[in-house]
Order: sequence, then structure tokens, then C-alpha cells
Amino acid sequence: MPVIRLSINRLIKAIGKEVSLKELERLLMRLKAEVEEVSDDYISIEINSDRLDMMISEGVARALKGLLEIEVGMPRYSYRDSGYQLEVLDVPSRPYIAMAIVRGIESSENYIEELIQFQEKLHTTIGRMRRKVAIGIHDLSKVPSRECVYRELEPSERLIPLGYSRSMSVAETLSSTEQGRLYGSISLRGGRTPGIVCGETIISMPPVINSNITRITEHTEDLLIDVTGIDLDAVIKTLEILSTTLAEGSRSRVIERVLVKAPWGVIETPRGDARVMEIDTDWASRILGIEGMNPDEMARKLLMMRIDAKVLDRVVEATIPSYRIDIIDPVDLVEEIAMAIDLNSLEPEPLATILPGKPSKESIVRRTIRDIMIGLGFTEIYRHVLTSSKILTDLGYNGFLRIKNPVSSEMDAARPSIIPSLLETLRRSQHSPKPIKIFEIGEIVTRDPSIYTGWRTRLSLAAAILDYEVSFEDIQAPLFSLLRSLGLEPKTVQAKNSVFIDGRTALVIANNKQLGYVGEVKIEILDALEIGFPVALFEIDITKILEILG
Amino acid sequence: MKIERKARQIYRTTEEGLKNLNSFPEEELLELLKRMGGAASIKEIEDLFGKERASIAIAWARRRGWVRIDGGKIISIGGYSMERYRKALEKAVNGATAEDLGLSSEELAELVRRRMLAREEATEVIIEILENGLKALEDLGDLVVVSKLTRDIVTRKPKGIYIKPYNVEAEPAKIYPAYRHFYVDFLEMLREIMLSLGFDEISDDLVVPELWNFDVLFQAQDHPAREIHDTLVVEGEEADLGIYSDLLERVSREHSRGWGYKYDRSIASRLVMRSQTTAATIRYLHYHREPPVRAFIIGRVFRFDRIDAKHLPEFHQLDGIAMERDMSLRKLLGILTQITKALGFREVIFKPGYFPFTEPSVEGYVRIGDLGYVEIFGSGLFRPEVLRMAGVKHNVAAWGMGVDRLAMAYLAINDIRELYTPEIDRLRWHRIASYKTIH
Repeated sequence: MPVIRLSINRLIKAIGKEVSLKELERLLMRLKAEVEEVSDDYISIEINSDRLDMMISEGVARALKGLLEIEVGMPRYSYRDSGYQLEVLDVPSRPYIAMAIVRGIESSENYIEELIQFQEKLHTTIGRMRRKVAIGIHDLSKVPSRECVYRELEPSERLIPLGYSRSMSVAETLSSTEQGRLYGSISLRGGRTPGIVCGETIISMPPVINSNITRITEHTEDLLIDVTGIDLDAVIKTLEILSTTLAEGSRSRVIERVLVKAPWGVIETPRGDARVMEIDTDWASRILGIEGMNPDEMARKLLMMRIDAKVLDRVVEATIPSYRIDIIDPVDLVEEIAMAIDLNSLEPEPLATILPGKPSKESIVRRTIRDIMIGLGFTEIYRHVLTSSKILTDLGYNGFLRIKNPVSSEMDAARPSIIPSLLETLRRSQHSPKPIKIFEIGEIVTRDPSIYTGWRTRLSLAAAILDYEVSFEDIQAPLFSLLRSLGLEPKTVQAKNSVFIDGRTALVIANNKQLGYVGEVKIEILDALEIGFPVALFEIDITKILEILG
Repeated sequence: MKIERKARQIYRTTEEGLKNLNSFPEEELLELLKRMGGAASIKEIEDLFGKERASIAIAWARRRGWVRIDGGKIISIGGYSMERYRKALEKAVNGATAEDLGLSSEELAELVRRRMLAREEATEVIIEILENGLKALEDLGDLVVVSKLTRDIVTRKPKGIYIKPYNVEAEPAKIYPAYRHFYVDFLEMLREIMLSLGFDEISDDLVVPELWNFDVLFQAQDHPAREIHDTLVVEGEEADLGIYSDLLERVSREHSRGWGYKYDRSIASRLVMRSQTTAATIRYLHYHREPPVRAFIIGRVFRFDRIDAKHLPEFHQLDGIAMERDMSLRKLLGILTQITKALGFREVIFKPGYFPFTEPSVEGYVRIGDLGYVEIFGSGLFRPEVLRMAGVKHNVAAWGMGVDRLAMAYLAINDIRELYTPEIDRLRWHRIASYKTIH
């Protein structure tokens, strides 16, 4: 979840009222946000990733003013034409762009810090690391012309990248600036990359870097915002969030539109269009669990969330500001009402009691087997399903599930058997007092072309004995005891298996089904795993036992 | 009889010595430090070892040059096995001479000083039966001296037996009981709570297509959680979703409408290791569409998480769902309150949250000792999009809990890897510690 660092001064000034830290913490919690850290001048707040409009003081204050009822209902911004024009040529790698102008901002060192942070938070969330959407913000007074073109730049064209004092070619900017190395490949197409050119000057190279010419300073008054991307809807939404939120902190609250003439359409951006949605108040009451909540009360709660609301009999007509892109369905408005009420003042309603639930069949058998194994003197272990493909291969397993993107080579496969988990435990515990008798009941994953995923999860039991001397019968006896306790009729039949010594390996059969293997572990395997004591073990398939028991 | 007495010195393992048969405090300290990345604060060690054992462990580890102290932290330098010492203690359980123990005089002195061995003056008594004595024995006739009772003796009850007295004060051989695993017990406790609240238990496969893990849960197809740095992807073929064509139709419609993109079925069929147990509850809901439904699962989930004291790529979640004709937000809060109470927490605090598949969404926090408020629930009512995809007509409350973190807080464990330890001695240690909290 994104964490933003705000200047406390700026935040309080934007709210327009002194608010204690405790109160702030409580209010933010109702907005899904959490205070992480407070120092003398700064506050760090974790903002929920659905509230992109709250990634800067202005946006946080706008929401808080509603809860505090300092300012309720939808915020109003006036829109007018700017006289700026953007001609969009064919830019196949990043076709979409929209622009806006916000005038009369109060720039300062803190403002610039928060502005850059706002931009970065949008880049990492809705922007998908600038791939889907990228933002450029400019000092309007330094934009050399009212006529701009969005087109592909040739590698040889020149600009002064942001933070540099000398001019570089596009190719050099891509290869030698840090931003170029990080983001240069996103929209590159045969050496050409998108650029915004105003008059004769490149002001931006989205999604990589701006030009230094339009750099924002503490003297900046008016902003030109550009948003580019590969998804028009996301581009438009991002611009709505930016333009309204930055206008919120401006003196005039005026947003100026830019005429965008593109092959995909001619539009003036940003639109600032509010959306209207109706809520059936009975339905909303039912979801909240508050019988017969008054429609007027519901409307008041929406106003507190900065949403306009008009009561029309049993329906509330809500008008949602353009920056609330997270509201897509009436149920989202119900959540807004719950947040305005404060979840902690809603009285929890306990479920009517009914009969106790049913444990799964697996659980019942698992518990029974667990009790029997403990009674037979085996200590329970519990290990991971993920294991090392190297150990599995050493033990002679193949066709097991491999992870495409493992975190470590210790956990790059799913176990097709519990035996590896037991042997690893024995290796690590072999110097404990003997005899060591252990078992695990757990999931294994095996290949099964008959189901739609090709992989079946099965429940398996394995048990082992390690001692100064161990014989086949030491493990066979408890195995038979277990199976008979479950009401099965076990027998063992001479067999071969990669884990066990030839001649001391048997197939375990009960009620005519093969359940697994029992035997003494091969010396080569003990040696490879650095186990210095003899080990006998068995593994049986609990899923098969469940089939027998029905 | 001729009786001859010889005075001898023997060593016997003390109570203190018996405590250290498996490992010495300084060895455990070193092991602990290794697990905690080479360093730990004195407080952390005291919490785990208890004050007294901690100070012994630190003192001896320092004396051996295994650790150094720097700014209140104990930092491991490295050590060696004390196995020879422990072997000596084992031999001395029933008393042994200095030669039997095979230790140098300094080593022996250390164990005595640490009160693990006690020096005793023993007297060897040699009894020789002289000629007159032998004659007397013959006169005793059939009197049999018995040291171990047998079935034969018990059933035949022969006359004239003498049952030799046993040294009932000697230390017996050391044996250990078999233990249930402390973490499995914790999972069982959670299971009991859910069953008692009327929820049916479900189980499901660990390998699932993204369809269940993400798509039906309305997670956008380009959502970062789906990327390889978040979810563990299965190598090889994809799932055959032929059996779910109706469902796919609905999923495609909701995604295209809600997210404004062209839905891609090949993403839905990608196989992943289940990254949230909601993948199982939503699948269950798909097959159980009529209210009332109350179901839960406690199961393993997998994420691309680096291994450290707080993270593992494999851990457990509990997920629950409840469908009723009039399921509401207040009822959801009611369920969460009931579970929290059953777990023994007095209060739960709710905060609105965000999850792609619920609306309204609620996070639940409880107060745990020194940790302060800890998030234990993510929850909400399933979004209408999710209900439509699952083919359900009534509201459904859903919630999930991270089980490992809860167990750690409950059992005062500060390294998640301890829950899956491959060391049997640690299992014994946790078993005893957890009796206090679970039972």
C-alpha cells in the first residue's frame, strides 16, 4: 500500500482548521488510511490504493473537510478553454495523450516535494510503473508555444533532460540518464520514442523524462499537465484526478481545457464530468443491516464523503465527482455511507446459531490417524509442501511440479511425497535422543492428467524410525497396527522402489488397493543426505483410504 | 563372610546436568543467533530462554569466545559442538569415575563448577563368602533371590522366594513421549472455533488456474498481484477450462464491463500455486448457490516472498464465507466479533479497507500484548460483479485471516520458520510452551 509523506503545515492549512493528531488519526482510519509515523514537520500516511485522489495534502484535506463537515458535497471547479492545442500524430507504441492546465497554485519547496510524490504514486499504481500511464507536469509560463505536437522523436533530436544543464540527443538521453535506463525501453519503437514538442522545443519525452526547460520551481504559478499511455480510459481518469486535486489547492479553482486533435478522436480535456448514480435506500439499508435507514440521513452521509446527494422518495440520486474513479457500482456508495457512519459505531449483529458445522472428510480421517500415530509413539512434524527439486531428483522422483519463478532453490518444487520432508527432518535431528520416531500428515501434489489442472493435491501420511539399529518389522508393525485400527485389512507384497533397499521394500495393500510403500532406506540415500543412522519408513495415501472408507 | 570396603570418587549428573543432556545453553544461544541472522538483543534472548538461562548462556558463550556484546546486542562469532561434554553427562547419570567420563581435568572441573556434575565419595564393598557361609547357604535350601518379577513367578507363586530390594532413588533412563505438533494443534483449535460457529469445512487443490485465484474474484487481469514477483507460477501446461465455459462467459462479461478491457482467457487458464484461500471459498460458492451457506477453509497458500523471520513463500490462511437471504455489513461485523471473542480477544476495531472482490470492505484489528493493534481480518461483502460471476443471487460475507502471524502472536514466537522447524528438540520445547496458551 502506498505511503505518502506530507508537510503537517500544508495539510492543516489545506483543511483550514486545527485538528489534533489523535483526531486526525481517527478520521484517516475512516478513510481507509493509517498514520504510520509523525515527526516535527511531517506525517507519513498509508493511503489505500483505491484512493488515488488522496496521494497529496490537497486530496487528503478535501476528504477530511467532508467528514468534519467543514465543506460537504461535491467540490466545484470551473472549466474554461485555454486556447492551447495539442496535435497528436501516429505514435503506435503509446498512442494516447491528454492535457490540462491549472492556474494559481501556491508553489513552495514542500509543494514541489508533494507534487513529485503524487506523480510517483500514480505511476506505481494506476500507471503500472509508467507502462500503462505516465505523467509530466510543467511550468506553463515556460512552455514556449500554445501549439504542441505529440509525435515520435528521431534519435538525433535534442533536448535538455530534467536535472541536466546541457543538451543531449534523444538517443543519449535514453542511454545515459538514469530515467532513460529505467524507463527508456517502455515505448521505444525502432530507435524512436514519443515526445511532446511545443513550437520547436521538446518539453517532454514520455514516459521517460521531462525537459529541463519547463521545470517547476518555487515561483511557478500555473501548471501544464500531460498524461500519456496505452489505455485511453486510464489516461483520462488520471488526468481527472490530477487536474481536480491540484485545482483544489489553487487560488481560483479554475481548470483550463486543452484541445486534443488525435487520429483516435478530437476531444477537449479534462472533461470534469460528474457521474450520476441512483441508490435504492431500502436496498442500501439491507446491505448495511440498518433497518429503515432514513433517506435524508443517507444523503447527509454521502455529502460528508464529498458526493452530491438528492433524495427522490425511496431513492437517493448521487452525483460523483470525476476524481472518484474507484466508485463504479451503487454498492461502492453503500461503502461510502458506512465510512461516513464509522464502522465502529455500527453495532455488530451476531449470526443466528445453527447446528455446529461439519468438518471435512479429510479432517476427520486426519485427526483419527494423528491420534493413532501419537499413540504408537511417533512425534508429529509439520513441513512445507514446497521443497528442493534437487533433493527430489536425488531420491529418484520425476514428473513432479516445478515452480517457474522460485524464491529459492530450496523451495522450487512441490513435494510429490512426504518422504523428503521426513528425511530432511531426520537429517537435522539425528543427534537427538534415540529412537527418533516421527510422522507427518500433509498435502502432496502429483501429476494427474484426468483433472482439468493436470495436478492433484492428495493427503498423505509418512512415518519413519531412526535408531542405532532398525529393522523392517520395526516400521511394518506400527503400519499394520494403524491400518487395522482404521478397520482395514493390510498386507505387504515384495516390491521395488527408488528410496528403499531391494529385498527390504514392500508395497502396502489394503482392501485390494495399493496404498503406498514401506521399507528400509537405501544406504546411498542416507549417505547423500548425510544421515548417519539406519532409517525405516512408510508412506500411505490417505486420499485412497478415504475412497475405501467412503 | 569377609567384608572389605574401598573408598572411591565418582561423579554423578545433577538435576542441572540433566537439563543440559540435549544441548548446553550456550549452544542454544548460538543456534538462536544463527536463526536470527547472527545477532539478537539481550531482551529477545531473555524472552525466549528465561532470565536465568539467558544469563548463563550469554556468560558461557562469551567465556568461550563464541559471541561478543555490542550496544546491547549479542553478536555471534561462531562456536563448536559440546557433544563430548554432553556424552560425559549421559554416562554419569548413574554415576561414573573420572576415567569413564573421558574429559580432561579442566573440562571436568568446569562441569562441577557449573553444578552439572556432583562429586561423590562412593564406597566399593567386596563381600567374600567364606566356607562357613557357603555351608549356611546350603542349609537354606530352595530360597530363591529374585531381582525381576516374571509371569512365571506371579502365576506359580513358588514358596521361598526373596525379592531383592531395588534402588528406587536412582535416576531412571531418559525417555520422551511422542508429541502432537504445536502448530497443527493451533490449526485444530481454529477449526473447532469455526465448526462451533456453524461453518462447514471445505478443502481444495493447491494448484489452481488464475480463473479461481483471481478472475472470479474480480482481480483485474493486469493487477500487479498476478505478476511473477507476487504469485508462484507452475511450470508446464495450462489448465483446460472447457468444463467452465458458462462461468468463463460470465467472467468475461463482468471483466470487460468493469475494467474496460478485452478479457483474455489464456490468462485465466494459467496455473499458479493458490495465493489466497478465497480461491477455494469462491469455488465452493459457485457450487452452493442457495442460502444458507456457511463454509470455511484453513489451508496453505503460496506467494513470492523472500524467506526471513517474518516471511515464507508458503504459509496458511483461514477463509470463510456466509450467505444468507439478508446478509448485511452489520452481520459481517457480528461474525468477525464472534470469532475474535472465541479466540480470546476482548475487542476488535474495524477500519474500512479495499479488496478487489469485496464492497464494502472491512479490516479488523485486535490488540496483542506489546505488538499493539494487529490486523487479523480482511473482509467484506462480495462485490455484485463477484456474485454475478459465481451465479449467486444473495449477499455473501467473506473474510480471511493470516494464520501464521496469529499463531506467532498467540504462541509468542518471533520467527515464522519456527512453525515448520525440522528439529525435534524444538518441537518438544514448543510443545511444552504452547500447552500454556492453547489449553
